[in-house]
Amino acid sequence: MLTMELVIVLVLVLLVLLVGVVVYNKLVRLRNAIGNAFAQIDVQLKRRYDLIPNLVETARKYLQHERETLEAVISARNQAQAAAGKARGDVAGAGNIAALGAAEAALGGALGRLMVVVEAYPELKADRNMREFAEELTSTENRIGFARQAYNDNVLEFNDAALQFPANLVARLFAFHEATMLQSTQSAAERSAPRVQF
Amino acid sequence: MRFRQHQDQARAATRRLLWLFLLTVVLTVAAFNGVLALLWMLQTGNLFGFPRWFFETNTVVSAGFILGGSWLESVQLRQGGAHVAQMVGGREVLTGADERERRLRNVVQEMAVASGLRPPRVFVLPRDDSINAFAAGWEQQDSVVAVTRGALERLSRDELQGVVAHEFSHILHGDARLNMRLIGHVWGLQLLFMLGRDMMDSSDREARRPVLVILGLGVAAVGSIGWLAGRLLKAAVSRQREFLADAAAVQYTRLPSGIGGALRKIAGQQVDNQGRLHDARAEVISHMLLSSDIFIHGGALATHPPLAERVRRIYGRAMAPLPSDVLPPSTDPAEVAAADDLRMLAFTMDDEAGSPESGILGFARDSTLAPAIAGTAAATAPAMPSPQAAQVWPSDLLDIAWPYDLIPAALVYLTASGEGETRQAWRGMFTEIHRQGQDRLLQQVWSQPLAAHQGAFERVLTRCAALPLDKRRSMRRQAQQIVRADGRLSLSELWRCLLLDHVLDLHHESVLRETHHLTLEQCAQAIDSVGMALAGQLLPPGQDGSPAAWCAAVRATLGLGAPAQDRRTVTSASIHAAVMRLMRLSAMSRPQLMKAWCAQALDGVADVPQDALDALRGLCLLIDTPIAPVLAARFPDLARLRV
Repeated sequence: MLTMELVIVLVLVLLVLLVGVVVYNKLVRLRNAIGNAFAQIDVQLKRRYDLIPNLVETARKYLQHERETLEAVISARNQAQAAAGKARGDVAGAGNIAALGAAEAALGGALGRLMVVVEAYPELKADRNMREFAEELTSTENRIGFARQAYNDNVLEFNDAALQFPANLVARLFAFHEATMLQSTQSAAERSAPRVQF
Repeated sequence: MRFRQHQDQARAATRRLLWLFLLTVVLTVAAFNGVLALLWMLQTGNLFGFPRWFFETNTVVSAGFILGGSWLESVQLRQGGAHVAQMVGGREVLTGADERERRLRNVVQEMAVASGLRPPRVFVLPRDDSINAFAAGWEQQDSVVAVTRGALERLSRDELQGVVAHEFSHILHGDARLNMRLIGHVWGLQLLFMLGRDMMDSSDREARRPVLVILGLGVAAVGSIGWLAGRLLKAAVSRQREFLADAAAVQYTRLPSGIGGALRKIAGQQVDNQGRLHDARAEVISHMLLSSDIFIHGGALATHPPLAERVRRIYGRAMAPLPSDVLPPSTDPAEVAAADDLRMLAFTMDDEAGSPESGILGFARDSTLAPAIAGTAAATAPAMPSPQAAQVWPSDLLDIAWPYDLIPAALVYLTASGEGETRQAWRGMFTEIHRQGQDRLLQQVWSQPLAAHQGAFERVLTRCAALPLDKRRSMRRQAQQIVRADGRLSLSELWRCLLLDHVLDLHHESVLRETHHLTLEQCAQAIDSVGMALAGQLLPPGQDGSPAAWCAAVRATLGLGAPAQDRRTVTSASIHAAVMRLMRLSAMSRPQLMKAWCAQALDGVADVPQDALDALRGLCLLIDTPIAPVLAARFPDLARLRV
C-alpha cells in the first residue's frame, strides 16, 4: 500500500518536473527567438548607419549652404549607433531598448529634414549616386520596419507564454522578465520618418 | 504561425496529386486505346477483329511516353528552381547595375526579413512586357523568385512588394515544391501533343513536308487527350493556393493596396489583351504564374481563380482594373527625356513642311497633297529601280544569318531610306562595328538598291522580335533618330517605323483595347487616309489622276458610299491613327480591303513604284492579313519569306 502511494507521488513529481522542463525549454526557445529578431533589426540598423555617411558625402557636394542639416544627421547617426551598441549588450534591459528607440527617432527626424532639403535641389535629386543611396535607404527603412514587426510578433508570443498559468511559475522561478515591445509609432517625428520618394 | 498547417495542407495536396496523376495516366491511356480502336474500326470497317497485341502495344507506348516523359522532366527539374527560371528565358539578377533590378533585389531582401525566409535567388524575364511573376524550387534553399521586366516597369514599389510577398508565400507554404512536381507530371501528359504540334509547324521551311504535317496533326489530336488531362490536373491542384498567397502577401506587407494594385493592373492588361508571356514554354509553368490568362473564363480548366474575385477578397469589395502604363523610371533628366522620346512615336517626327509648335507635323502644309508627297518621293527616287531591277538582287541577302551584335545596326539602317546624311548619322551611331571591321555584311546591304530593303528589313525585324524589351526599345529609339537625321520623314520610312513598332510589340498605347470587329463602314475614314498616302506613292506627280479619285475608286470597289467631306491632307499622325484603327478591323474584312487596294494599285499597271509595293506589303503585315497573290507576284524573291 505504501509502495503504491510512493509510486503515485513519484509519478506526480516526475510529471511536474517533466512539465517544468518542457515549459522552461519553450521559454528559452522563445527568448532566443526574441534575441534573434533583435539581431535582425540590429543588422538592418547597422546597414543604415553605414549608408548614412555615404549619403551625406554625396549630398555635401550639392548642399554647401545646408551644413547644419548635414551635421545634425551625422550626430544623430552617431548617437543612435552608440545606443544600439548598448542595447546589443543587454537586450532584456528595458531602458536600453527605450533609449535606442529615442535615438532612432531623432535620427529618423534628421534624415526626414535632409530629404525635405534634397527636394529643393533638382540636380542632387537627379544625381545617380544619390538615387542609388535613396533606393538603398528606402529599402533599409522597409527592412527595419519588417524586422520590428517580426520582433514584436516574437515578443508577443514570449509574453503570452510566460504569463499564462503554469508557465508563469517557471518564469518567476528562473527570472524570465517580460520583454518590451518596440513602440515604433511613439513619436510623431518617427512616424513621419524618411519616406524617400523618388 | 499557421504556416505549418498550410505546409501540411500542401503536403497532403502533394499526395493527392500523385493519386490524381496516376488516375489521369490510366484514363489517358484508356482514351488512347479507345481513339485508336475507333480509328482502326473506321479504317477497316471491321468491328471486332483487332490485330494481336493491338491494345497491349498502345498501352505500353502511351504509358511509356507519359511516364518516361514525366521521369525525364523530373530529372531535369532536380536542378531546382533556377532551372525552371532559365527554361522560360530568365536571367539572374546579380549586379544592381539597372535601377529597377536593384529595386527588385532590395524588395526581395525586405520580404525575406518580413517572412523570416532566406532570401531566394532572383531572376528577371527580360523579354516580357506583361506583369507576371513566379516562384519555383524544391526546398527553401534552392528556390527562386522570377519577375517579368514588365512588372518591374509598370508596378510601383509597393505593388512590386506585394507581388514578391505573394511569391514568398508560395515558397513558405510549400506550393513551389508542389508546382515543381506538377511540371514534371504535366510535361509527360502533354508530351505527345507537343510532339505533334512541333511536327506540324516546324519553323525550318525546308523540312516542312505534307506527310509530316498530317502525321503531326494525328499525333497532336491523340495527344490532346493528355494535354486536356494535364490542364485539369493543374487546375485541380493550384487554384485554391492563390487566395492563400494573396492573403499572406497582405499579412507580410500590411498593405492591401500592394498586391491589390498589382492584380488590378494585371486586370487592366487583360482588358488590353496583352498580358501574355512570350515564351512557348511558358504554358508549361502557367500554374506557377502570378496570374494566368489562358482560359480566364474556362471554369474547370483555369489554373487561377478569376482576378476579379481575388481583388474582391483583398479589398472586401469589387474594384475596377487599373491602367498599367510604364512608370517613369526616375528623376534623371536624361532618362526622362528618353522616356518621352518613346512616347513620341515615329509619327510625330519632323519633315521640313511641318511646324514645330503644332506637335503633329504634316507632310503637306498646304491643302494640296500631291506636291508634298512628290517631294518625299523625289527623295527616294534616285535609287528607286524598276521592278525588273528588283529581281536581280541577290537572294542570299535573305539567307544571311545575322550575328546578333549586327542586328540592331542592320535594322536601324534598313528602317531609314535616306542617302548622304542618313548614312552619315548611322555610321556615327555604330562606330564600333565600323572600327572592328565587322561591317562587311552591312556593306552588302547598303550596296543594294532600296528595292531590296523591304525583304531584308522584314527578315531582320522578325529576328528581333524575341530580343529583350529594353533592347527592342533602344533599337526603336535609334531607328527613329536615324530616320530623323536628314530632317525629313518619307512615307516609306513611316511605314517601316509603324511596322517596327508592330512586330517588336512596342505600341505605346494599347491598340487592342475594346473590340476587334469594326466594319469597313466604321473604318471608312481610316481607309481614306491610308489610301491618300498610298495614292501619293503610286501616282507620279506629273501624271493625271488625283489621289482623291484613287480613293473614290477603292471606295467603289468596297461598296462604300462617297466620303462625307473631301479629305485633302494627310499627316503622319493621321496615317498612324488610321493604321491603328485598321488594326481593329474585323478579320473577315481585312483581306477584302487589301484586295481592293492591290487591285486598284496593280491591275494593268506595269511599273509600280517600288516604295508603293513595299508600302502595300507593309500594310499586309500591319493589319495581319495574308499577302494577296497579285502583290506576292511582284516580290518573286520573297515568295518563301513569311513573317
